[in-house]
Amino acid sequence: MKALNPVLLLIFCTTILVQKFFPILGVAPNRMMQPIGLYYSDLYEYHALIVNVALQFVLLLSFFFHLNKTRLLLILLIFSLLLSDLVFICADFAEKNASTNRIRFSLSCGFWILVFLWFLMVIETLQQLTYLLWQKISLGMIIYLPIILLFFSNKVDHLSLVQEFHANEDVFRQAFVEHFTIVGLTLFFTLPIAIALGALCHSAHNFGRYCMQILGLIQTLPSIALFGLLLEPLSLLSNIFPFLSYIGIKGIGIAPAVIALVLYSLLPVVRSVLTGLNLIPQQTIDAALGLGMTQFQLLFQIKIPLALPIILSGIRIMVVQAIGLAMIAALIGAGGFGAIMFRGLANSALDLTLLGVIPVIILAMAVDMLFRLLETASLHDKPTIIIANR
Amino acid sequence: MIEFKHVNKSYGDQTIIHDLSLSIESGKITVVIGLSGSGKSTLLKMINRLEPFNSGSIFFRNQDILTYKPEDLRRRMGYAIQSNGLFPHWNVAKNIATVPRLLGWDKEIIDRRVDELLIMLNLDPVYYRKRMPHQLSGGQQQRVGVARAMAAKPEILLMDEPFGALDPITRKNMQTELRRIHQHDGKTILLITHDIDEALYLADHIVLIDKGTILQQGSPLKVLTEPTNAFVREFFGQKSRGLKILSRLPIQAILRPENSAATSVTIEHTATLADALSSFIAERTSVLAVSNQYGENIGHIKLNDIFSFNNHSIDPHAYVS
Repeated sequence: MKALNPVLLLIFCTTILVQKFFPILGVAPNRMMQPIGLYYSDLYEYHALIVNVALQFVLLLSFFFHLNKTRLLLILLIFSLLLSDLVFICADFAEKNASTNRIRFSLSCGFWILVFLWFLMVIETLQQLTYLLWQKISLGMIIYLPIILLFFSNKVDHLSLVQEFHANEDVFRQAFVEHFTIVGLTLFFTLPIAIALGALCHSAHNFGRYCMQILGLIQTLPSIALFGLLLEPLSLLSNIFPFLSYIGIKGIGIAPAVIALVLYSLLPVVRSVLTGLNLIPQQTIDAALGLGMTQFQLLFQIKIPLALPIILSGIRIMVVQAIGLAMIAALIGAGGFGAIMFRGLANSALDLTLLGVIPVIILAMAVDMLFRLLETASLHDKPTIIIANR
Repeated sequence: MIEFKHVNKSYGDQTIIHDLSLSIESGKITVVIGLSGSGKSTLLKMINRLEPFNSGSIFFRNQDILTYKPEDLRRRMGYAIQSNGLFPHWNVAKNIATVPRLLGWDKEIIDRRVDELLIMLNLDPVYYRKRMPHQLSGGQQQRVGVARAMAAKPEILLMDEPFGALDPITRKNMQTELRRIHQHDGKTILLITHDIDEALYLADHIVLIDKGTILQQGSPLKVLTEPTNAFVREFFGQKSRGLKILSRLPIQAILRPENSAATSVTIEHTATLADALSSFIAERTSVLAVSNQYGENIGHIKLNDIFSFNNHSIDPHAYVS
């Protein structure tokens, strides 16, 4: 019954190398000084290390066998333990050695790489389970629950990332609201425009061709260039019509950001609407018309429900893309997590940069999962589209 | 019920339907048969205005179809198509209820109608109401497709190769079912097919069309026994035409009501002469006993009677039931 999983084995070997050769925790006497790297083995007490090695050895063994459901769950439990343990030892080390406030304990590259690689392994292991998507996602959350709880406790308070967070809590909250607003407004404006355009492209082929070409062209423009292009006309507009700037439409700020993001967002959604509508079998449409549906009834009772899974996947791609692009919108004064990130970059403050980046990654993943759930829900019992979608 | 008057249709300079006049009678099964590209499907879709036509007119209940609103017209005509076209995101009950809902029937009446149709088509309502189309076999899907077409008690049922995608056995069952339903409610049916056996089995009236014109129409026996030209003769099978004629004749035609002791082989009274001939040959006998539906002996038939039997002595409009 052996089935070697080469992917997992390869990632596992990498994690071992990372544990050996990459610093997990950086210790610096103050913000300005170069930190000294601490390795995996430096952080551990002897007996804790043995437990850790044993757990990892069990992991290694598991890659050589076919595992039933119980054993897969056990493996996931091990990942959960390893991950929370990693955070715990870093936090614990910081707490114990925090004699003066000036010493900074920052999570180093080894830490982030390990978190990332273990994340990949958790995903790969979850794939082997025959659960439904929502069950897998809940399971994944349970695995990360100890870490989340750890971050809400005061155990981690001596890590520089957390200190940075506490120092910038208000800015962080504001960034969250701004980021959310930018993405929300983008979604709000994109959806009706894109669905209308998609339906139009579907019925008028020539228009569709030009429309897709133009949208494709917009997509090739670098985002910074697009933001820049919008600066001039918008500030001109707001100079001519002062009330525009009163409601927030001016050369810099949220208005050009949202306009640019909407322009970028149109392509994925329009394309998904078009694909979804084109994939509906002609005979289904014939049947609907033949039974006496009006065009309106055909669109809302048949076409849109049938195209919904594909449209949703387009919206998912769009939202995730918008969350990422909104970072850059900080450059034209739209705020958001991008502002924190750029401030961190400008000051070479890695922890501040991470404070801007990490929530965006989590936000993007959360939105991605949410939309995948919606997609599977809308896929329910629609075999034709399932086949087309895979 | 439906009246075509000098209907023409063409795409550019390609003629699809040429000066076609045809009358579809109430209460009968009319089967339009033809090769692919003969225009038979177009003919059907012109009736419910899925296909426009260039000139001539079509009447539904003596009223030009162009004077109806397309939706109203279509809701009065049941429409069933090949590989069923069921809506994959709706369960069986909702699919069947499509037209009644469009017509705004009461929910309870719709529910009752759905159950009634499912029972009529031998699908247990308790089990099948909530099934999704992809959970059904091809035959069951087709049944639901037929049920959906009949849901709002349409005045005519338009069926465009409804059984084309089914395997031969399921197809045969569906044909038997359709006949049974037709006998039960006498619905006017217009069915399109390219399957000759299906046409001969189902039709009260066959219309053979080719290149957009009607070559011959009449009862199945008529087109078999009196083909008007070589194409028709060819179409209905040069070699097996005799067997096809026999397949339209019931064994009652040669039944001798007295019992015969000369055979132990029995055939059911619903069989056709073609079935009987097949049995004679397979069983190497020249006499077959005939039993009724309760298995009681009601007489016998003799091989020679098939040959001495005169086609024209029976009503050419008779068909096997």
